[in-house]
Amino acid sequence: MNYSDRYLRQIANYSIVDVMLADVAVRIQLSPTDYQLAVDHYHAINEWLERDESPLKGCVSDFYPQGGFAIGATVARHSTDDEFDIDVMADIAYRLDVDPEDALATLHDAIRGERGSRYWLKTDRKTRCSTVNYDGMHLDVTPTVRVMGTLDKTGLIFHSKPEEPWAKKSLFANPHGFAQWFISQTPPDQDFGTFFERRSLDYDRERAILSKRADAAPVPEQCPAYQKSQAVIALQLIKRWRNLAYDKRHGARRLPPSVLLAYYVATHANQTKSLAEELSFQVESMLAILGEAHNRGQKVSASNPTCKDDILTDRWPADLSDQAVFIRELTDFAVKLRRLRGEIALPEMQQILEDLFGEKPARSAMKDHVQRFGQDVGSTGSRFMPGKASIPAAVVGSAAAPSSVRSAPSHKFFGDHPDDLPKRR
Amino acid sequence: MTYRSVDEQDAEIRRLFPDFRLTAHADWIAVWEGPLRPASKTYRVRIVHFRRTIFDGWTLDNPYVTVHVVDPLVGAQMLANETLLPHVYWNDRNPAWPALCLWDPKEMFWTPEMSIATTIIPWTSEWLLFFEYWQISGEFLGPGRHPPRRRKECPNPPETSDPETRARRAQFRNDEFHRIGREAGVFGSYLWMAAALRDCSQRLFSPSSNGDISGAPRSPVISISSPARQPVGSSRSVSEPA
Repeated sequence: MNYSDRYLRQIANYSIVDVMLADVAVRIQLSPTDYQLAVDHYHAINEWLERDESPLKGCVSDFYPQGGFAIGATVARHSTDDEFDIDVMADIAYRLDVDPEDALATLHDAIRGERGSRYWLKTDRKTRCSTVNYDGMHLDVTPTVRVMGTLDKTGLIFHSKPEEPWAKKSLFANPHGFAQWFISQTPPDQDFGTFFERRSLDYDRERAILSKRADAAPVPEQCPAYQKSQAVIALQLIKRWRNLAYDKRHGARRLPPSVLLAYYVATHANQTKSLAEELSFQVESMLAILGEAHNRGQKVSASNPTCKDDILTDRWPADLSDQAVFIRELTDFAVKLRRLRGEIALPEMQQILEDLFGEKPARSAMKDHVQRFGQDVGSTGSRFMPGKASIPAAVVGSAAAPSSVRSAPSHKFFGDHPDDLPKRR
Repeated sequence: MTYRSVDEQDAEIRRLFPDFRLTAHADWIAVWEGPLRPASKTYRVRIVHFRRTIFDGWTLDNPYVTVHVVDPLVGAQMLANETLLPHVYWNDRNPAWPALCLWDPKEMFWTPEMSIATTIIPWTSEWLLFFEYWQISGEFLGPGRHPPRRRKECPNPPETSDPETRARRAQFRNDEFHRIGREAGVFGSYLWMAAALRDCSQRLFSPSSNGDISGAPRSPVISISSPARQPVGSSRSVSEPA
């Protein structure tokens, strides 16, 4: 792949913190290979719902992605696994006054199929959707009924627990409209988008080589879905941080919803020049909104900009204590990000990244970076920036480099053998 | 290819690294100090460069170029943790002050034909990045090797009774001490000059860069091979021609 000198000059200016944050995001997101797998699952379920024996044959008028899958912000659920939630909407030709339990139960039956069929043991019924469990991912299918005369794809979704029949209800929602609004608010900067796409594909390729799967499809040269904006990466990092913080310290509490975080990120998107700055700015902005509401003694509230009846805060915060916990966590997050952007050495940088986003992705990102740099030093030689001989992290391990960086000849280090050195008294 | 002069080296260093300063300079020796920031943290390094190591009748054993990290002292953590730094030349007298070992003489040998600005300085930055990661994992991920250590013994040249040789030595001491004395800013009798040379070498080769050498550890940082014994009372870091 040939890159312009302008592009290479741009990315060579990314700080090592920018590059480490991007590399952590690469490691916690749905990989391009798994993304394609998710798309395949999504199409398979759509076709399955239309099979001859399906109670919904001929009734599914639309089937589309929503949530993190629709906006490219899917992240692993927990620190210890690589499980991803893929959210899709099934627009079904129910009557608008359909009983919520019937709507959910019918979809569940249609997916699960007959005893012995391929999804029989893989499908779980949830309060608002049915979940199909695959290795490494879960496809959540939410039934909706289109409300005519409203903005495109505005509809009703359903809430029902069989054991709580009194609590069932229908709710307005337009997740498709929200996703379109989010995407329009967070257009990728072309250079960063290209950088992140290449980083994602390179990492996916390395993983494929390591897994030595003979049947694995080759990773493509390009994958436009991974040309993401800094705001989207910031959202992924915030979601990952939230998952870990609540796993570790607030296991009994409901998570602040991803859609609310996405709403805040899109509201303040792309006002900064680097990923580290974007992440810091987003966290500080959320903190300001939540803090202001909390100081007034009120819970925050927000609605879908494309459907005012679609309330994004309908289930969180349940009370002010939920809000106070999140504010406390966000404050700690903001402090650590400020430190991360300061003048710190790699050990402290890695420690903060581990605290915020998990040991596995942080260690892997850091080690891979230094290893790639070591290979450069011993083979083609390293690159450095005039001034303080800073190492341009974004072009480490890359064949191409901009005219603004200099090259040093390859060499090998030498020195007294540590084992031979005299012991101190 | 000819050896670059100190002025040529300095010009290129200043062009690529404007914050570097030439802190001592003679025709055959130069010392630069400046900041390097391999990743996010800034270090101050000192580069000592001997443009010549072969003189009339004697040879300087030091390498053409030596790099120390002045701030923070990279060996300090090693002392605290009893861990030994990779890819340094051990400094017995001041373990917090090891010289970085930036190239393998089996692969190549750095000579003053080469540019300090495009080799030594970026290699130092590389070393610092690998050092930072070594602090995390105990792995130095830069390429290289550690041969078994061989302690260098100072040569002990035989005493001579030849009056001509003694006269040549005295002349050398006089010329050389005056030259370095001018650098050190101290002049005086022969014995004073010996002390001046010792102080000068401590100032150049100690962590203290502010001229205060009272607390600086004494370090055998210059060693000279010569068939003659060193004069009593002079620094052990100098000897004179036979």
